[in-house]
Amino acid sequence: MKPGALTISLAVALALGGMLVGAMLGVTSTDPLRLLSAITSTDPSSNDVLLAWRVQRVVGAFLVGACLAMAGVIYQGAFRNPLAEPFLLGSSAGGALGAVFAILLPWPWLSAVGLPVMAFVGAWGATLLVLGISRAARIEDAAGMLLVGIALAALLGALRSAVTLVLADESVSLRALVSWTLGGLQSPTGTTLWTFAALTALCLVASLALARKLDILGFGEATAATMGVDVGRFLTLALTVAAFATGLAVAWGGVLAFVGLIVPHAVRWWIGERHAPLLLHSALVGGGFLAVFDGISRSVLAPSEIPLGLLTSLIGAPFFLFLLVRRYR
Amino acid sequence: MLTRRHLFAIGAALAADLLLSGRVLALEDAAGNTLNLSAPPRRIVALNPAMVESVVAIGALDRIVGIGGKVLYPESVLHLPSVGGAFGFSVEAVLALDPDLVVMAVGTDAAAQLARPLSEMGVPVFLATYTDFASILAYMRLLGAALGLSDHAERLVSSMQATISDVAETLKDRPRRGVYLETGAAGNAAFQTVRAGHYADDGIRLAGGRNVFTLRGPRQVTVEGIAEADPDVIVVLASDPALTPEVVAARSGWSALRAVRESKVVVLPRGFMLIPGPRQAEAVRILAQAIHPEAFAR
Repeated sequence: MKPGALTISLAVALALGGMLVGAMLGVTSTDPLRLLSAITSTDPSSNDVLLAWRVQRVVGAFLVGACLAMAGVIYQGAFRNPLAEPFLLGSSAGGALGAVFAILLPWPWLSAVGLPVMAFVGAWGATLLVLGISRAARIEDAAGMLLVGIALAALLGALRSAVTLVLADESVSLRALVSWTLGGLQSPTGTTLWTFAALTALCLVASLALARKLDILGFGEATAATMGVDVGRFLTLALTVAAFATGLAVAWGGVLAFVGLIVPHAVRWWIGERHAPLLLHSALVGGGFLAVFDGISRSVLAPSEIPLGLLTSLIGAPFFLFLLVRRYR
Repeated sequence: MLTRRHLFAIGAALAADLLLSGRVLALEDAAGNTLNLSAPPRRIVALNPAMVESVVAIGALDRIVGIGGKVLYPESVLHLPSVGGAFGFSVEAVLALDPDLVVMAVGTDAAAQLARPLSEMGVPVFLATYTDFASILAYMRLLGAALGLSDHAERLVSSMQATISDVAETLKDRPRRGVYLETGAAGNAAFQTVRAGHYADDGIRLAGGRNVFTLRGPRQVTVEGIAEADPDVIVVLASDPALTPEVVAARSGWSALRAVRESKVVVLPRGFMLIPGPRQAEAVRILAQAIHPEAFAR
């Protein structure tokens, strides 16, 4: 289907519908009217506070999903590889290392900084390091950067394991840490949520600004160069933006596998390859997708919570396979 | 594969079959391995914090020749050589200490890495198995028998039971309070709790509480789940000094919890409260004070 007003409306409907379904699901399901009154309620003793919490969490899930989907689109476009995903250049290893420090080290300043900030610094920092090393070594092609990313991810992963082994004892919960690496939505509220939303919007604007050159890059690095694109510089810029979006997602959502891979693909099969509409549609669909899955994770075994990343992979992977098989048949 | 529950069943069944034949003590440990000790062990390596504490509490501190790397208590053992822990355990380091008994807990890294190689090399291995509170007392008795200090172990268990009885006496006639026990969290997410069958779940009951979660499935809950369970008291086990009751109360959505509004949030040191050793009775007393502060006020 060609992207246009119809597909955008559909994507918006999916996003809003996803958020609505997500917000209706929980320990007790609820209807849209109560949700509305909950958002406007301020009485801390009322049960509506929880509904308000749920609404905010759903918005958080939406933003995480949108960030991952956008990052996925940029990574796949920049590397011209359909298997590229947001964690390609060390973001998950870096984010997890930051989280390990935040969870396992009982240092007051670390607690003050908080898990999201540490995870963000780790996730974005790791990719910036990859880009920095690549630049310093004059590695300007995608394959070279990829290798730098793989090496750094291995290093950071080993560091994370080492830090975990050294620091873990009865005084900390490894279970919580493992759960975070399977996706842990931090339920941002108030100013934090607005900041997150503003930064996500910023990512969308920045991504859209990259879209045309991503399209050109699709013809190949040599062709893009003849068309006036400084491929090395552009890759660095695009990946910096993508890694920022990934960092945001890791900060508030933990390491959520598969979302950044499956959503862009599904959307690409739906509306085609052009990056501007692809980014916009993917952000909306990815957000809606994650909002629904977060609802499922909170409600299906209530009062238990299933780590979100387990669900996105458990349900997402077969769905992805289904789409894939249908497409190749 | 045998689950922990099976292993404990075996251990408990065979504990009753302890047999002293001549000078050889043959007792079967939780994994079903027969432990043949021709004499009470004199050179003990204890690997897990709970195991070290148990050996010490049973009165065999002077027989310990090596400990695991993660042991932080009691101070009297900290000068002893470590046989690894953070990056795995070394069979060679254990053998170098020439132990005649190595004590470890089932399901730990130590057991996974050392139990088989050591017993294949003829080093006696004591594997403690525990799930609930009673099984902690049971392994201590078994350990006492292995050390030839059954009477010491019996005294230890009695004193633990006395602490529990004291708590029960103090809480007599007081209604049980619903307790949410948090054993871990990742920032403002992934709240971990304990379910039925865990010694901390027994601890809540012995401390005059009622675990509001008796889950069979995953052990992770949401704030909505906690609100639905409506605990009277929230006990957070953590080691982070910055995690105060105020910080817990300020988590998003938590203001809707009755226990938070009534300021019934307590943070206790996780290491102390969750080590399944001789300090568990004291842990129950501390937990009881958190759940029923007015009963202990003088």
